[in-house]
Amino acid sequence: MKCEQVRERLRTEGPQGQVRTHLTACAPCRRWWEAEQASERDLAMAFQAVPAPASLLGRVLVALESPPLGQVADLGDRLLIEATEAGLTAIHLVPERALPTRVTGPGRRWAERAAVELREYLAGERAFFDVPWDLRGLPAFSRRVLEAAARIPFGDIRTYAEIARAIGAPRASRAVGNALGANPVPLVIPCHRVIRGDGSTGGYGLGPDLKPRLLALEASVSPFVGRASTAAVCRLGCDRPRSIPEGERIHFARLADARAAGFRPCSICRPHAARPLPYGLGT
Amino acid sequence: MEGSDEALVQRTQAGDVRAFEALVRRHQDRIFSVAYRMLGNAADAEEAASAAFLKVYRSASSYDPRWKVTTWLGRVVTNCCVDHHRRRLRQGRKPDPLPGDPDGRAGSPEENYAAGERRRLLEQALVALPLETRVVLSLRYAQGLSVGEVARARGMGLEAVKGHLKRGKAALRKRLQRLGLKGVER
Repeated sequence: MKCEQVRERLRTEGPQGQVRTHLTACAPCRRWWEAEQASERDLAMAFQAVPAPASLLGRVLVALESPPLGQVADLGDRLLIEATEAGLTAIHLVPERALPTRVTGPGRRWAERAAVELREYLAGERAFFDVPWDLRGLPAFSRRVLEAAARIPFGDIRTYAEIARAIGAPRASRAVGNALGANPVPLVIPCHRVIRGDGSTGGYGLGPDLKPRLLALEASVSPFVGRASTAAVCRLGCDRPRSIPEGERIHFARLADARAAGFRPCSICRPHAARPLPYGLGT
Repeated sequence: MEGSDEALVQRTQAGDVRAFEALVRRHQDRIFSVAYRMLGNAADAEEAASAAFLKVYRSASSYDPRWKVTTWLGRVVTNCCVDHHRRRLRQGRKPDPLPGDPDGRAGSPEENYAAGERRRLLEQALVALPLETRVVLSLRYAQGLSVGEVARARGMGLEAVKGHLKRGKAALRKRLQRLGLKGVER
């Protein structure tokens, strides 16, 4: 019996029969097995059970009675959307419940789709938007800023200075801030993911108190969902996994984790096609 | 309340809250432990564990009786922990000291101190591991699933699970050696 086979058998069955005989004869395997057992003991110690706090059960039972409302889910009804045939041109937050769109003609389909996607996003059920925008009315600098911001992945953050460096204008942080502040299509272009270098959240066109709430929402939602039986992984919000029963869903924080587990990217939402804006540009 | 896990889940499916309560009581320590080992602090672990039990209640109808209940619970709680994981990163929280110290009360104070210290170092090393490796280790050692059950709970191949286990052990060993503690003792 080869050492390789012996170690595999040891891992799965422990020292029995032929394997035990091999162990008495082979010193390297014996040392390997001792180290392996020591690791097991260490892991058992490191993962020792921790008693659940007494409050856990009560907390669960209370939550059963009152279904949790998303902190920002109600905003979905207060968004006013404008669009042309090329894509979205404006998203406004209005004080009262609004009609979802203010468009007739060719832009209507974008506005209607955006309304659905925005509502899902605010409910924590979508991690990307599949609607184009139409920024033709803006200065070239603003467009470059907004297009860079659009590449910040869901749940991530960048600083104003990083965006400035990404567009090749490293000294223009303030101008970047102004361009983001005037973002005509907030949420869809995620200018809320750009914060100050000192870690404070900075201003936000839809209201400064909303910005940390959006960041908190994104930080508590996994952007990738896999289906165990098909081993396909989608971006959260793709039509495909919508019908996955809870028992089949696997959440992933990163696409790389899903791939390492043997999941392949969905061909519809194409999670592998994103070109995220890198961190620490040019520093 | 008596009854197998499967029976409790079936009664939960039918809307029996007392059966659900019994299920929570029976599994809360292990589920909380998995969450605690993955997230590294008690507040996040409690939040993730309660989110997991809520999900179990609401999606009890999707439970497939061919699964062991512990495997199914393992999947649900690790999903909730992956959701929570990034919030913890953002807030930069550090692991709490362990609630209570169930360690070797029978030994001398020095021995107890050494064992506690070793465990503290192990916990630090664990927090430094990649998320998916912590998922696999937590399911294996805190939830007590077999390698095959871990693979099933996380939708992975057996080889991927073994790879994570191997990497996790190697990382722990390396860390302990660097700190001057032998990997083999006791």
